[in-house]
Amino acid sequence: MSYQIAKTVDAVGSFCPGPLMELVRAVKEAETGSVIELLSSDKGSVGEIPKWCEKAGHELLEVVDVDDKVKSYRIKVGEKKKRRRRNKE
Amino acid sequence: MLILLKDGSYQSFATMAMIATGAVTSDIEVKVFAMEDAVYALRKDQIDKHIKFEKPYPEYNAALQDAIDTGKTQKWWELFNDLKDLGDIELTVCALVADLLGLELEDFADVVDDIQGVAKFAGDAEEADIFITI
Repeated sequence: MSYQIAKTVDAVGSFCPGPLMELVRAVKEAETGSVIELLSSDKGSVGEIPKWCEKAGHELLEVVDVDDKVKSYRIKVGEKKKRRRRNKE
Repeated sequence: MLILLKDGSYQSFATMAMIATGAVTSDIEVKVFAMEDAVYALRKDQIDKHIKFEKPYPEYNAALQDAIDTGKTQKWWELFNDLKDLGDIELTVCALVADLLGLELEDFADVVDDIQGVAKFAGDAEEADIFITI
């Protein structure tokens, strides 16, 4: 698998939902199609990051073990969705 | 999503903020309505004090305090304010309790957006797909 990481978000040591929050911020600022790397030691990220990527329309390219605690999540940024907001009129 | 928060403990606010994080990061609009003790806890001169945890487990309290002190986790209101930058989320306090305590909007912590009556809550509840009480 060949790709270039445009930005690395280092959330090592941050507890849930810190890594997710930092990833969401980075993805919102990123170009569609670019690849973001999230470094996280949070156990919750293992299930949370794939689920969020699926729901938000981004592609989790792969998850790489950096060491026995830290994982590297590589995410390809998809098309930005418009926010769901009810029409109050 | 509408969350009704009645309890003024730190843990209840933290639970609310965690649920709201899941929603806002999934582009779901969140409205939080605070009533009873939760309104009191949101006073500007009170919010820092209620971080004294009420859990009957000293080890848990110490671990949470350490995580906050070392920056591994945020205080709930810091997380809530960050969510405002990411999506649609607002915190409204009950007008009755605000009146009972003689409080105006400026008396509440910055995280509070508005003071509204129960008609506002009822309207939000009618529109919400998901309703959670804490």
